[in-house]
Amino acid sequence: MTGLRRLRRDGAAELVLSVAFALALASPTMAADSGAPAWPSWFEKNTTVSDKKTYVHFFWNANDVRRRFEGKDRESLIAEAARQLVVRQYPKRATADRMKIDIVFVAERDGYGMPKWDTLARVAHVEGSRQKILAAGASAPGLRKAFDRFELY
Amino acid sequence: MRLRVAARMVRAGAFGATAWAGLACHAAALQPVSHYHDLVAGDGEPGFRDGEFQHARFRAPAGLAVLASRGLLVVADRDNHRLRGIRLEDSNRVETVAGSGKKGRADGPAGAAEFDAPSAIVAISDDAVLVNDEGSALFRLVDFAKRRVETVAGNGQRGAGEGDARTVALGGVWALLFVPAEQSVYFSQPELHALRRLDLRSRTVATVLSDDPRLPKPAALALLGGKIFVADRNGTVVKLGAFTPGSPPSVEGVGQGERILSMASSADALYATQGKSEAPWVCVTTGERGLPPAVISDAPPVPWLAFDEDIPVGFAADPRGDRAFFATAPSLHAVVSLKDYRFRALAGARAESGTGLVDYAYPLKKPAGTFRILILGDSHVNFFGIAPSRASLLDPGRVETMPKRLELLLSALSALDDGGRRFEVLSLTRASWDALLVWPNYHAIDVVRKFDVDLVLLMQPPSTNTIEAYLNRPITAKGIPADAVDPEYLLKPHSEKIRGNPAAALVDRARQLGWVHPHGEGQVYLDDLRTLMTDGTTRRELVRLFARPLGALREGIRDARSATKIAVCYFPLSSRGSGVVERDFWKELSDSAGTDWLDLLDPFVVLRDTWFPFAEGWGYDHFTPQGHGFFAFVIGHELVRSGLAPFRGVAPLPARPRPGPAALVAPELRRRYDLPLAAIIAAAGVLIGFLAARILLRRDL
Repeated sequence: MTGLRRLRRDGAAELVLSVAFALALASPTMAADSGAPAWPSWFEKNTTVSDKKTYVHFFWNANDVRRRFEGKDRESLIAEAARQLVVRQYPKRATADRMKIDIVFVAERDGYGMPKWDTLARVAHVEGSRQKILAAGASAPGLRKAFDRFELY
Repeated sequence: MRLRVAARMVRAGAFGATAWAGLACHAAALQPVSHYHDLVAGDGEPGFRDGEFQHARFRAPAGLAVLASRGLLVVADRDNHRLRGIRLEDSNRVETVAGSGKKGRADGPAGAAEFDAPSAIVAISDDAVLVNDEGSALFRLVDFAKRRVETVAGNGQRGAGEGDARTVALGGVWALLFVPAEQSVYFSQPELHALRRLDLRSRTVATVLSDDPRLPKPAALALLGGKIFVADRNGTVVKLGAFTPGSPPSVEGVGQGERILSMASSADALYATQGKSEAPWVCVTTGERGLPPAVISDAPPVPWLAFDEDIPVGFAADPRGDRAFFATAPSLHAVVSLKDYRFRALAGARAESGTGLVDYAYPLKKPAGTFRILILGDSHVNFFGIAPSRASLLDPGRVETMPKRLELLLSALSALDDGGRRFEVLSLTRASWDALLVWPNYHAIDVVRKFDVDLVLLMQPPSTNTIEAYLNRPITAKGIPADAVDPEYLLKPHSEKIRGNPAAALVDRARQLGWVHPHGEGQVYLDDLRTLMTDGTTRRELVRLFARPLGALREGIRDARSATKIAVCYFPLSSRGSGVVERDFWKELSDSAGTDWLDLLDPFVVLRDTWFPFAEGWGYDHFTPQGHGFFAFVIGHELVRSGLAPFRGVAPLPARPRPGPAALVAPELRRRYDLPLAAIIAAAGVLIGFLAARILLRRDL
């Protein structure tokens, strides 16, 4: 009996096909989770930036990509995320150099699509000079040091 | 007269009596409706009859002109050879204002003068109109102050010409346009490929354009911003440059329509009627097609607004409101009104107008005689609860939401029962859990000012997120939560946020009672309102706390427009219990903040079972389309009953008595602890007996 016949007999063919289909469907999501960070889409509709005059506050709900923050590179990813927020979301009319960045997971949204704040969990709080952060460059080994406050939760 | 008085006495009862008594006695006059697209006058049958607007008859009316200062809409009643007047300030009463009815061309006193198929017509002053008497190929001037008719142009021959007005040939005139700055009337002759001008001072006619390929068949004319706009029969609309005799003016294309029949301008926009088009009219300025609201999005064209392709129609701006017009056509035998509130573009129930409303694009300028109501609410005002099995079949839009149904209901009732007012119901909603007592402070006050709102209804169901707003948002100088969540503030520890917070005393007391619980990062939550209300101290604190944003809203509205009233309109939701337990709390809050109070609970309780099979207004978290109708009916009834919506001849009734505290407590105990009613009564009896015994014993001692 060939392996294929055995599969058919045991009813395992359906199982194999199901798994294959599931993998095919899930692969785009998995790729998004594992590929290079897509900062613009990650930030889209998930960030709040407030110009507080003496500093600028960035708030990013990273829940959509929370799995990316579970790996070994968590710290460097947070540093790069903070830098990306400063690069991409700094308000045009702001003048402050002081940057305060909160990265959180808000696990749930209500029926209207708004964050359910009681499901909020802090991920990181970082602060630093915009000038130093920008000078550090992308993914540079020294980026972490560009922040004078770097708290992980 | 006696009948009328009797009817008034019955009408003083309530909404139902108002409607039914008035109709039964036929004592109250029917009034023209002012909704979106309405009848102005004419029963639709060809004929000749003056009098009440709904009984009046016209025969092929072809032109319209408004004498605003006289409140008169003049109709060129073509096949009756008369000019008819519609008294806009007298219930649209129709009368003959010129013409004996005999076909002819005799000048003289208005009543004896003769016309021959009067068609295009234009106002040239507060007291006079110029009429194209098409059958006689003459221009006739009708002076209503002197009550005389005079021929001012035409030699009675058909054709084109220049020079002394009485010597030129006329006829085939499609449209007339008066240009005040030039004291001239422009007129178009599409079949003669000409646009000409009658100078009223010199009484001479000059050619503006003739056989011009840029405008081969000039037809509809309008004035906007002092500039002349011309629509060619091919649909092209152009702006005309300044005219100097002898040289054709410049022409600048501004838009396009389909078989344009007539044009008029209002509120800085140019509008055109269209022949044999799915859209009977179009806003040339924006290109948006003018279609009335429809329950079915792909509804066919409205039959009574279908214009023929090759016959000019009457079209004039209604001076009483922006983007409102009168229209007539020979095939209608009636005059109708149109409004452009962007009904189709904003057909979705949640679409925003761009002017601060979540509604149609109502003009800022309130139409004369209109009572404007602003509905402030959450998703229950404009969301629909539809069973999943029916969701694919139903796609209800704005026209089916409670505010729009309420508007239709009040307008219709006012028309049928001589209510004395027109009604517009505007809505500003926020589909979220955002605190309804808070966000209107930041968004509604400006709307009240801009739209000249008379009454604000805050649609308050049981339960609220006001406490959460106090705990999670920065507090402003007014002592109310900020408009939006500030994430940085949110992340602060609760101990820091509650320091100096107006909710501190409430939280302290609730903590003593074990009603405060940790809730996510730096947050706490308190037990629900019904629990908090059971303690006297927390209840007082709640009223004090909630009265801040509600009072601030009342103050803000009063500062914006001192005559505007605000009422808390309390309504139950099945998903939030009966609403009975919270009612007194919300009433107390309303009293404390100095707002009016509109209680829908009793009518809901009385009618919910009766309406349920039809309305499904009970059982879903959001109302079905039929439920929105029920909701609107109940609000409308209570608005008239309470006097919050003014209705001629209806005296407000005193508020309904509410059950005492004992009647409220018993159902609540039953609901919470599942106790039989007999047990509650027995317990109450034991308590009363015990207290009585104590009193008696003391007396004995």
